[in-house]
Amino acid sequence: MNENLLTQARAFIAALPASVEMPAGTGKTHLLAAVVTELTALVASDEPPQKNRALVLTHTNAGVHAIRKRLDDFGARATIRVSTITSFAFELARAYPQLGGLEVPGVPNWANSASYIEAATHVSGSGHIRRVLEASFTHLLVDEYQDCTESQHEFVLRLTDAIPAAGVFGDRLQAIFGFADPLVSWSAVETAFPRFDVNWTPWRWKGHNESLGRWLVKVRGLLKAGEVFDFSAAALPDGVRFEYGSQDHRVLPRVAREVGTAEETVLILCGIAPEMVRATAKRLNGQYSAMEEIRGSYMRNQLTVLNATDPIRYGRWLADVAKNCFVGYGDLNPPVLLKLDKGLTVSHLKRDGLSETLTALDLVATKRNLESLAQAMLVLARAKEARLHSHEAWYDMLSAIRSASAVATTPEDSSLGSDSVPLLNHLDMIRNRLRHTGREDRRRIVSRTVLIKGLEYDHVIVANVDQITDACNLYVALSRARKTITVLGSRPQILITPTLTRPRRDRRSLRSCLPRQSTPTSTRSGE
Amino acid sequence: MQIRRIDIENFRGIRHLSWAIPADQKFVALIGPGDSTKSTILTAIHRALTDAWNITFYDTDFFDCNIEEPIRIRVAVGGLTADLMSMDVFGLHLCGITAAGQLTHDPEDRDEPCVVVELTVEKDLEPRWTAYRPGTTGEPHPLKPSLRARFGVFRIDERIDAHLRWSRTSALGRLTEARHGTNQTLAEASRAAREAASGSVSEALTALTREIQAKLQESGSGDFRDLKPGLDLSLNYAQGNLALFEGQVPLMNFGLGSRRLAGAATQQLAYDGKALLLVDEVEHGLEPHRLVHLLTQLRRPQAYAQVFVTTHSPTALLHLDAKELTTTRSSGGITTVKRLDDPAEMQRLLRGWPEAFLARHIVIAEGKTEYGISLQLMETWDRQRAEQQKSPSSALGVVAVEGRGGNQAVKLAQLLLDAGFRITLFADSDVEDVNNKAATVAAAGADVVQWMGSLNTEQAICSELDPAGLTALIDLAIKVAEDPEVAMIAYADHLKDRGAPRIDTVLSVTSWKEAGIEIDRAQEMVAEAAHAKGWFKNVDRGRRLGAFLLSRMELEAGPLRSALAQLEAAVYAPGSTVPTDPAPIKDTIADDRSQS
Repeated sequence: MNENLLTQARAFIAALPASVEMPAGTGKTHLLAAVVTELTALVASDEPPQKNRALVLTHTNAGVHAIRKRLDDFGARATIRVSTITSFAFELARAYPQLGGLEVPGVPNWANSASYIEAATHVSGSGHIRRVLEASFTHLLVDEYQDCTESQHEFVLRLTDAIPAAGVFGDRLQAIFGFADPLVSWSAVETAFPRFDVNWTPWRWKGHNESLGRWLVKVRGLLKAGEVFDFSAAALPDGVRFEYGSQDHRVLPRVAREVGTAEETVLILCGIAPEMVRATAKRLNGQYSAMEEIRGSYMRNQLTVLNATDPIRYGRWLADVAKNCFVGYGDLNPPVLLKLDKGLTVSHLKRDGLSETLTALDLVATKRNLESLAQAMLVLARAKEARLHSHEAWYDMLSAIRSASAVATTPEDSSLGSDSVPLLNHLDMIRNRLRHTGREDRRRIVSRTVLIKGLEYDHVIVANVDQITDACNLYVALSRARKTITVLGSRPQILITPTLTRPRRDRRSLRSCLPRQSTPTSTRSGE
Repeated sequence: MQIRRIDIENFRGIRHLSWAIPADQKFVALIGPGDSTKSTILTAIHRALTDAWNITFYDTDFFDCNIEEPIRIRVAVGGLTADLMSMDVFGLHLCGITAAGQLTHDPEDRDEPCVVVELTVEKDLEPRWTAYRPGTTGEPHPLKPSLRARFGVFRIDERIDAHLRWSRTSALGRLTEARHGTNQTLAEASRAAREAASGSVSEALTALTREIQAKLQESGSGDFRDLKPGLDLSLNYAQGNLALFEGQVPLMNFGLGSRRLAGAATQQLAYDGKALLLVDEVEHGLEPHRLVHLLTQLRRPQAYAQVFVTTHSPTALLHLDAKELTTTRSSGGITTVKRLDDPAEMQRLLRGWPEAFLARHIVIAEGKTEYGISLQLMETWDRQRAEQQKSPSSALGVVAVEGRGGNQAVKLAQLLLDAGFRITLFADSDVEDVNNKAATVAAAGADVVQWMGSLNTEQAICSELDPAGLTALIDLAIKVAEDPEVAMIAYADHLKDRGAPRIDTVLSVTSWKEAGIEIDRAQEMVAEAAHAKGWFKNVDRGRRLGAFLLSRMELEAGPLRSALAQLEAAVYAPGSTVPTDPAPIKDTIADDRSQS
């Protein structure tokens, strides 16, 4: 840990409670890790003397892993608990259903996160649990605070009743509203956690593209709702370019092919609509893999269909899903599908280059159970007779089906009755695991801004900037790149729109997502 | 930290026990007759809270050897210190316990937070330790040995020797770890043990041993001057062959009492006053003066988190407070425990008759006279029964005590009855208030023996004596007086003051008739004098009076002897006729679920 970082960490510890706002890529998490490392090396004012114990919260499991890794690098892991806000809330709510007023199942259902947060807020308000928290932690640190919903903010405030030495880290320009609950405003954050100013350096671009890093800091002042951001007029740094491309279907595949070497990572960002991701991945012919949202809605839907499907038609289900997740299965056309509908074999049909696929479909048509279905899915993925573009979806469904079939004891049982949902349970387990282990590293990804907060890539391609015009989404999109940014759009002048912070029907939903230099709201300066 | 509630099902002699322990009770002495499951309670606590990885259970550990009904032991520990409240210890498994000792799933603000350890053993004989919370469904949270180690439970029993060696789980091992942090010291020590012949014991261990020596001195274990670690060649296994030596003598060779004290002292050091200590038969192996010293040590507020002892020693009771005593009774597998109430009343009895608290059945004689009579009668009856090969009163667990007057006697009877003792109240019947209270006590299950009519003891006796009998009584009174010559003059005056004829032969009642005094007047006068002047008011005189009552032929068929026969029947009544008292049991055993 260098001297400068240490000095800054110590000053921040002395200033707690406090908040720090830092742009993307300027070492926010690094500073947090330094703060945690430094304070847990100190002895708390306990009797008998004990080291400080820190609770570190963030929003995603990817964030948890990033923080853990930095703590490891600093050699500080003992007495530190790193968790997501929701899983920490789940733990409290699960332990104390009466205090929380909510019966919480043993396995979290993350669709109910908001209720866990509310229950945990009640739990933390109890005098005894406050003692538990006091006994457990001397310091509380929260990363990515701009992503806190108002109720998560409420929960954190309750935690600070027991753990007053609290610090939060965030960047109001990276606040992307993704779910149903409104996000906390940064001025409310600074009321609870007085602003602490730090000097930052655009670390992410060191040794990659430092002029890009400096430019990204500069554009923060330009991304104001109602103003026009001009990709043609602004002095763009090396590596940032605009191309007219949203009308021409050939541009994106070309750019996608040209950008980056085989070893580098490339991110293509679609608009806000979820279905755009798979459609784009398909267009790119399997060169890029579609990122699924954490909840895995696509897989969930497909498995729900499978669950309601007569085992005779398992082959038809497989063909349909394969056509969704692969490019190059056009020959699985109505003659094939109609046979599969009736549970008939298809390998006698002449389809060039699809022999392994057809044999696999035969297996499902003859041995109508989940085990052979899983087997066939694996064959399709390995045969490479078509190009897979939805790896995550395909392998998760494969795993869920395989787990469900392994649980079933007899062949008869492995075809599901209409009222059983083990498939969905297994999928949930797999997706929950993902929350903890992080995604498999794929070099070329198609995704949306809301899914890639906090991640970084060598190259970013904005597939259609016409669909990402609000300040926060655009800033998040641009700030993911270490080396180059390619922006495709119908024209280089973008009218910056306000970022949503709450559901559209809510009239208060529009707020200008402005960097703090020009924020009109009164904020306490970090004296 | 202290135990606030214990529930036991189907463990050894206990089919059911529910015991709520008041928050202020840091020292608990379990008293009760043999087979009242005192030791089983200590064993249950120890097994629930031990940090042993495994404990071997046998079919015989199940109540009635019925392995179909699982063994279930729940121990609720409250008064949790901050380190135990932490989320990685018990912070996410807390229950609440109400002032009345009821458990709630979550600790509401008005309740005290506690952690409930549940040990269950099914017929596979595998013990499972989990955190119990009432009303929870689903998989309970397992409590690993490392978590249970936080309770610092320690039992002093016949296996104390293990704790005088250095091993992972022994008190000495723990102490070393607590002082020097890691297992490193222990490993080094074991290595050193192998070289102990050459005297290479580490500085750390030597320093520690000096500390233990000081503690042992303080605890009264013995006068140790040259305590040091040494190699115990009696054992073959690698660990634990390093033992505590005094000079050339291993501590294991010292007397049992010394070893027990040494074990307790090291545990106290290891847990820095936070240990839960369980001592079965606290007096075991100790001379009275060392027992008294040990009790003083155990009861020092900062010495242990909580101490449970069992005892059969009147010496121990003599030095304890009534509120520290908890009686245990077992009937049909239902064990009931009750803390003694009203310390002031009990305290006096405790100091005067400590042995009574160790009995099953207490005969409360109203005053000194009645007490003396009871003692004499019981002695006589015992002798007669011995000839018929019947059990004497002592074998039946009967102890007579003195009640210090009617009001105190009935009050004591009620208190002791509530505490689970069988009670026989032997009182006279001349005070209406006392009679009423005695009736209440009788209704609550005590045997009450009183004289017919509203008579005090002297009246009851005299009213059945003829002049010769009265004369014999006066003779006896004089004979048992401190100075018979003085008494002879004084007692004559007592009688004359009450209307006896002013004649030289006043002490011979047979001569009163000539002076015109009828027998019933004579009976009244003698009774009045004897009563008012306390002719028999001391235990020894009471005993002599008792012998007198049995010897007088004219009493044979009268109401007095029938009252005494009633007393005899009560004293020797078989235990099974003990009136069971369902109400208090129901009080103690409350269903947790009824709360939620």
